[in-house]
Amino acid sequence: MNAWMLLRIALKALVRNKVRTLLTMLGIIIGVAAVIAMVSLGEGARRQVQNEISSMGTNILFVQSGSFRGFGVHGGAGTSASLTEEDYLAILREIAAVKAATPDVNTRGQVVFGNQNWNTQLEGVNEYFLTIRSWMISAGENFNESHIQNASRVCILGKTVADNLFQGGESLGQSIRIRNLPFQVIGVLQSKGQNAFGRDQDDLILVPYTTVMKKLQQTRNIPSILVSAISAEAAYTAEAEIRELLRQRLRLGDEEEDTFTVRNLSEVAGAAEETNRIMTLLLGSIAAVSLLVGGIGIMNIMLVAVTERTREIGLRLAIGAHAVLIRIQFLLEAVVLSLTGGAIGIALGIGASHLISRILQWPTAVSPASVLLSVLTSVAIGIFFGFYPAHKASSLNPIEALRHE
Amino acid sequence: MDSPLIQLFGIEKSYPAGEDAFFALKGIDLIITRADFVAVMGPSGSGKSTLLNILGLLDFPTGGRYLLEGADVSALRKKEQALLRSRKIGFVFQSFNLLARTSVEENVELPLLYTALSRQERAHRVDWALQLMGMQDKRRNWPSQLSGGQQQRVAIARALVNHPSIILADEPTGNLDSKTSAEIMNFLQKLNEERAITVVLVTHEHDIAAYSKRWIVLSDGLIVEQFSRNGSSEAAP
Repeated sequence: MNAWMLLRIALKALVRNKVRTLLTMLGIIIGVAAVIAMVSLGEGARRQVQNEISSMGTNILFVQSGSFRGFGVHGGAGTSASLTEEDYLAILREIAAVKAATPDVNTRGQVVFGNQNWNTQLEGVNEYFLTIRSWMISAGENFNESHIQNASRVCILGKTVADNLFQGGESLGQSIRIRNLPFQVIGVLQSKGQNAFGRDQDDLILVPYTTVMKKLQQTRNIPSILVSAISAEAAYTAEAEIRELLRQRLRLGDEEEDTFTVRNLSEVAGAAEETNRIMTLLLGSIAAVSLLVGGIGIMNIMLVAVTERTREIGLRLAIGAHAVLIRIQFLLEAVVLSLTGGAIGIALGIGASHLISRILQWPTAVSPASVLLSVLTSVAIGIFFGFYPAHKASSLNPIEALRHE
Repeated sequence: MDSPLIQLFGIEKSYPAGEDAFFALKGIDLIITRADFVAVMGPSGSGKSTLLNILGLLDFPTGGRYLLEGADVSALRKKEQALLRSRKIGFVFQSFNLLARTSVEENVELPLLYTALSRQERAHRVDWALQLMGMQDKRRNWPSQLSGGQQQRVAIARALVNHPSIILADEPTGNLDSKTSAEIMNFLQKLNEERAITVVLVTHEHDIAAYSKRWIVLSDGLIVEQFSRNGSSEAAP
């Protein structure tokens, strides 16, 4: 009597009742497939958000003027809450943890080339903007220092704008009109596609911030400053130091609230990560419930099988099996059921997650951990829920079992 | 001289019944020699089946001694009992007890799966047993495709496949018509006479018991009468 023979006995018993075997496995199949598909959905969303955040550039701080204040009360006249170019320069000059910074003065405007026109976002920035956001230029060149100093009328087009104005024609070196002022196109950005909220990230034009301030808007205020710290850890130091510096420059008293905000992108990333983790956990636990139900289904069927097969068990005892062998047989049946169900479930789950990402255009990522977890769970279910029926079968009295009608 | 196949000394079987105990067997002394063919008779409730179960090591006696081939088996552990059942005892039941949706040859092979025999040896034994019962041409059929008599022949083949010392048959013809019953009894008789296989048969039908060499009549847990084909008759001690 060896293990292989017992496995053969168990397999034969399962094959003898194909329909029942299949129905029993169904619970596990659906449970495992659900766990894998759900977790892959959550994982896919998590990775996409992660990618998006890292594509915004790493170690980034957003400094924005005009903080949210209770009852809309701002500082008195003459103590302007808005940031200015001097504040930006002070940040660059005085804070060691800052690697680069750019003002971000944005507005919208109508752009015209020939008989084409387009309304788009105008982003007033300096030459470091591309490095900070880790954006690439696909043709032409970045701004240089003199463009910024002289408030030159030059611009870099987003892919969408270039496509709409030039309809596939050459855009570099051409002159376009932004709010009726002529600008020379010196570069075109590489396409970045949509962001997580469906906004087209290529629908914009980069212009020197000085040009926006002096020629397009006639303003001294800088609504926001983009800062990149020298490292991810330094981002926290920089955040604190910038806040301190700005409070001094804006002459805010100790009890006064900030009239600006400094946000660290890694905090945003952390929050997004946490949200997604909870989402994945939630989806996973819903799926885990169905796995549990599947396990109880196995126990149910195995218990029914014990009653239905009482005479078979009696016979096996009479012809030389002993209680331990009967117990192992029933346990093996349950384990084989749940493992086979688990394997089919994994295949279905992976298939389903591919299908979801193809049909719904929703990113999914099958995580090895969820596959491993559901395999282990199905084995555990087999052993756990198989044990009671197996024990019940093995403790049958052979005489009574043989008389069972 | 070889020890007798089975020796029972004062075998008792009692079940707790409230304050008292109910005795199904009240002290059975019995010797069964090799190649014997014994019919155990008696009204229902007389203890026939209990006796057969104790002989078949499916049940423990609560008193007395049981020697199987000279070895005391009255107080073996369950696992040792199972081993002896698989090596020395073949059961034939009233309701055949063949596994459904399982071929004839696999049904016959079943007891061998609980032994350490090689695949070839198992196949060889199955061939032999099926041949003996004239069922080799039905080996791939399912039990449901066979008549009652054929099913019982498969069950006997299954009982024989382990080369047991003794075949215990509990009402083997209870579910069969008289013609098929005669056919099955002829098979058992032939096995007993030509192959010297010991058979113990429980029945309450006299024409079935007529195939055997010795008769034991039980009543109320005691042997009240036993006699054999050569005419010698003896009352219970």
